[in-house]
Amino acid sequence: MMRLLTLLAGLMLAGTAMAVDVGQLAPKLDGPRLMYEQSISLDELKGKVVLVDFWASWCGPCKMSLPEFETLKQELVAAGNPDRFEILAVNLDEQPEDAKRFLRRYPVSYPIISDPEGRLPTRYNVPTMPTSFLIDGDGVVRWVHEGFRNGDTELFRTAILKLLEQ
Amino acid sequence: MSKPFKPRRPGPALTALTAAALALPAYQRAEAASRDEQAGVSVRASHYTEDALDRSQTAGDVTERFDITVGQAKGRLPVGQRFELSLDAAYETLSGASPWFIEPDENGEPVQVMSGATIDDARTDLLATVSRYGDRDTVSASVGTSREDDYLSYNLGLKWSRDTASRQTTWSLGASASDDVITPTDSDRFPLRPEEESKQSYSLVGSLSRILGKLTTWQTALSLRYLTGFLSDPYKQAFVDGTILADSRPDSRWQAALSTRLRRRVTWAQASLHADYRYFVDEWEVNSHTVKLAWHQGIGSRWELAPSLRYYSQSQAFFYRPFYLQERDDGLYSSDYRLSPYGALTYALSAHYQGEGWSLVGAVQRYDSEASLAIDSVGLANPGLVDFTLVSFGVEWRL
Amino acid sequence: MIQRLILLVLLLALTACSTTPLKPWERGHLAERSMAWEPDPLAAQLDEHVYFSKEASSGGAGTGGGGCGCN
Repeated sequence: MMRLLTLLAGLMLAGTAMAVDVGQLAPKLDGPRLMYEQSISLDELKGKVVLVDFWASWCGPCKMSLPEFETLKQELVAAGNPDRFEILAVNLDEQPEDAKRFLRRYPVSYPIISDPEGRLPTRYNVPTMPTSFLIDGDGVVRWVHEGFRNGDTELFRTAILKLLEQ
Repeated sequence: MSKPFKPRRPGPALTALTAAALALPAYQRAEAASRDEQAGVSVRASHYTEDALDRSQTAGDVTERFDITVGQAKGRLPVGQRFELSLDAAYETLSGASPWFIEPDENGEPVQVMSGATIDDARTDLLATVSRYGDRDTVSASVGTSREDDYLSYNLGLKWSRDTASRQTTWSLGASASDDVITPTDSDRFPLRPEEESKQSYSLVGSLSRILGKLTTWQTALSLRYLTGFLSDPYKQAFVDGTILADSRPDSRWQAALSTRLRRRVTWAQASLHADYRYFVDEWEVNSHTVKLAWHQGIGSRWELAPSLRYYSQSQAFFYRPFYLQERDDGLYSSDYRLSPYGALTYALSAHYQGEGWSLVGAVQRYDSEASLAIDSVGLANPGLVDFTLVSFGVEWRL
Repeated sequence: MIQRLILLVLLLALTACSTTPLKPWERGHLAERSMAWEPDPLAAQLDEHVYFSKEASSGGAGTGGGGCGCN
């Protein structure tokens, strides 16, 4: 029911530049993985803190953020949170091959959904590239970050650790 | 689901990959942070030689013109999360002779007289800019100087641009001013040359850039400029009814230029089409049309070849003549080819290679000007019209 | 001629207003290096300087301050 309400709210908000907001249930996310012949969904990660990141290989700040996110994930896993934290990225390259070329050079260990038609960012009303949503174990959006600048990794680390401590 | 993996930090290679997107205006890139997050340096060396004049249209033995070498450097440094500093420098050396005045031969045909001695000069340009990138606004301020043996200029500029909320459109407004002092060399030996003169210029530019779809962007701009002071060329003279007088132009000049640019991605060809047009008009009754077309052809993921064609046509300034058979009431005289009616074609080809953390560019261009290329027919062609071939080579590093 | 040109530019501006906004994730083609107004800024600066020193016209979208003794 809540999902449906969120979806309706999302539809009503469509056309405005408002992203899915803090406190709302995260819209459904699923699709084929970019580098593997599998599919993955946000539901499978229920119970974990999930950082959902929308990116494309043509977007400069996005490319800067990916290796930073990978380092952050390794660090959190090493700190004893392997089952409590995950990153789920959504790649929006029209040509998935462009993203694969980038990832072969800068591999990441977290799953990436390939969404060349831009189905998923519409649901989240992604306002800019990149945009990241931090989602808690109950599937509620707890933090939204637009863009990526030098030094932003610190903001992500603080927000994720705060949520993991709760 | 995770595999053994060694995390990598973004290195120079990564920054090179981001270069492409970051060269674009903010609204085109759809990103919140519109500043280039990496420092960068680019350098470029160019050389061009103006063709020798046609001996049959030249008085005396000197037909060779200028030989010019230009070095350019540009550095960019992001500071904090919002600011960027950039520095542009150029050093140009020129050597050779230039057109002095035009006299009629026995048949009344114009013949070019060149400045006798070889002129050697060097120009140094410096420009420092500080920019602040907001979420939707970018503001930048710059100060610059340009100096030559006989010339010193200071200039100031301000620019503000703003994206609309949808990042579909960008408005920008710029203003600049410059103050120049000219101290012609050898004014003691040439009585027609002034000892010291000055001029000022003020410009305003407004532009509107829009995204017209997934593959097309379009920009239109209007620029206005007002020049005042000594606007003549101290090294040029005019033949007036058998005597030689100094080049003498009005002491004010309004100029306006309306320009429009279109960029279209041609996906099936892995190419981009550039189409630019400018209409220019000024208070001296010069008006001109400039059209430039370029085709940027991607070859694989690293190479790009870009052939381009530019056509230019201008009408003459109201007081210009190749030579004067009688004095003018207003006392204005100029036989400068730059104020004469003519047209010009530029053919250019450039190649760009994107490496890991660096890129290379090489270019050649050929400029041919002819009175017969002008849109309107020209009575007497100026014999001093310039043709040249330019080659240049550049490297860019992402730090 | 000039009036027609201005009319054309204004018409283009009006048509442009009616395009549906492009989503942030739909700008991959526009982000290509070759889609920039000036993919090679140093070359553009040099061209501008050379043409400025050899032609009577100046000004336009990408022009800045500065000058030279070459008129």
